[in-house]
Amino acid sequence: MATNVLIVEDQEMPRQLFEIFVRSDPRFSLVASISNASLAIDFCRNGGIDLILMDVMTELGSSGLDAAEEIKKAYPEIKIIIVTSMPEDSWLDRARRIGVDSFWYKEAQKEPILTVMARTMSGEKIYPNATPLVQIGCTNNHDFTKRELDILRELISGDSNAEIGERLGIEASTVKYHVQNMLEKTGMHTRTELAAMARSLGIVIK
Amino acid sequence: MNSLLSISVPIQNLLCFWAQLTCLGSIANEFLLWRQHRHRAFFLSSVCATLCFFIIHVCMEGTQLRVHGTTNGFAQKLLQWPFEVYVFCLLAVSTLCVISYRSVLLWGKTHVTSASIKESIDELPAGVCYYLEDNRCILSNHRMKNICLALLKEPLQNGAALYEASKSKPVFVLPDGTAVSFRHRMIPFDGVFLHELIADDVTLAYQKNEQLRVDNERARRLQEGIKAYGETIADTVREEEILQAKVNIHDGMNRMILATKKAMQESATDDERKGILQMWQGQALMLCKEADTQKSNHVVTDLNTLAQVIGIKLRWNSIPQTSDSAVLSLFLSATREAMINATKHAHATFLRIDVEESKNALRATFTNDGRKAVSPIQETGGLLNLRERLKKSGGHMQIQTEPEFKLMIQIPEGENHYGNECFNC
Repeated sequence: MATNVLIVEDQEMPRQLFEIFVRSDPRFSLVASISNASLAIDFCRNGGIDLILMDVMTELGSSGLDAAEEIKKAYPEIKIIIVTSMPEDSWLDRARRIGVDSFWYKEAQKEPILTVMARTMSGEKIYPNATPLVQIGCTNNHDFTKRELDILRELISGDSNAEIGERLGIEASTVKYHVQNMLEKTGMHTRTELAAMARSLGIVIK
Repeated sequence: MNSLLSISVPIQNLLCFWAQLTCLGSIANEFLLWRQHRHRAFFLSSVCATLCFFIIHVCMEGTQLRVHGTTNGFAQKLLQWPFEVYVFCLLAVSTLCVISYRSVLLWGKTHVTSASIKESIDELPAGVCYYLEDNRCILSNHRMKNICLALLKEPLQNGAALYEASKSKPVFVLPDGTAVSFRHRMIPFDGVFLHELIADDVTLAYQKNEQLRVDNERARRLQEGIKAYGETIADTVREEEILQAKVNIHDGMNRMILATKKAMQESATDDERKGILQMWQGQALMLCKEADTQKSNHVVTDLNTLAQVIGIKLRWNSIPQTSDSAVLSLFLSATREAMINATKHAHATFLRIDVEESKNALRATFTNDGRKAVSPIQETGGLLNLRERLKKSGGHMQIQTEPEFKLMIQIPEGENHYGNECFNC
């Protein structure tokens, strides 16, 4: 019996590619493909969904991880594969925490999506060891510490060191110290440049 | 013992000269002691000076007697006094004069005089002015006088006028480029209150403050830039990814053209030809669909897909045209709620959706063909959440059960809020 698949992907090109992949393999059957993650739970409620290919950033700002959490709470038997192209570090941790079955990077992972889907359906949990390596200035995203990534994520909001420090429960001077460290690592001159580059590369997404 | 008349003339002249020097010293001491307000010492110096004057006078009488042979009886008696008495007196007076002068010097080193106060405040970098209740200025320094000239264009006479002028701004930049800040306080002094007005030189702090203000303004603009960037970056990244995907498709087409050319030249098998054909079909399908990227179309497509799965038909009399994500998100939630309630509670088979868009708001009405509600609609769960979300965005929701069930929503667009506007207006 074929696995019923729901595709949640807001970008036309990858969605069409996923549809072609799913339709080309007799082990899978495409139930629907949608662009907004907030509607995914309604498809699950109606029954008949075995596997969801879920993007993280979907249409109208709806989060695939939020939707996955909701679905896993209500329907833990439904398998979910998070598919993304963004190297945002926190997504991997959150996906593991909420019980997502597999995690697949669209461009960086060598293993074909159909193989990942089949292995996930057989009960495996497939996660990459790390986020894809992305060059930022003179360094790469793996050179940043967890704390630096937390601060970098807040930096994109355009808030001051004091405001960021208050949100993260640290001193403004500590925020300043970490920002300075990141500027030295990347060789960038301003925090604006650093924040803009990190966000556009998908290293941090808020 | 020898009287004054019995000693030689040069010695008598020497004695007279000594008395004159001591007299001058005593007078100088008197002047200095008077300035130091030391009245006892002043009196003593006066006595010394008088005694010296007396000895000079006696010596001069002696000289007159020697030259002219005449003098008065009292002077003759004084001239009979022993010479040693005069020497002893002069010695004592001279010693006192030296001691007195030394005490004047020591007193000057250990006591502050009004002159030294004036001199010291003139050296201060800050402007200082003390004035009385009647506004009369009793003490000020050169700096404050210059500041007053710069601010009031008149000499410093009225302390209160300067104080009033100083209250208009926290910092004054003077023509020489220096910045001053005034502070004022009342000091009890000698039974009255004295006004103390000090103009601190805050040039360095002012310059740093100005630099900080410029830097803060720059930082604020940068922060606004980051915020704006954060708001648009998701769309920008998505567009970049779409462009990259298009590039990949075009690369794929190039590879397929090469593969097709090779297959045609080398007489490929039927399976190879079928494979190439399937690849062409897949690429062509993606190229055909890539044009449909409008957000509202995605919303309509998603809702139609969901309707199909849950078993209801959507009839769109019009579809939203806006590209505002917040508006479309609320519209999506409302349609989803209307759709689920129509199937779950009214067992409807179709849902009609009327969308009306003005410049500032989107209005949508949902009606279905299901059974009518027998009791008033209880807003719980989804409907309640929807109402709250709409209210938060400045919009509102209305439910009508007669003559047919209608769910009406209004969502403001952009920064407009039309929460008070009613549907029938």
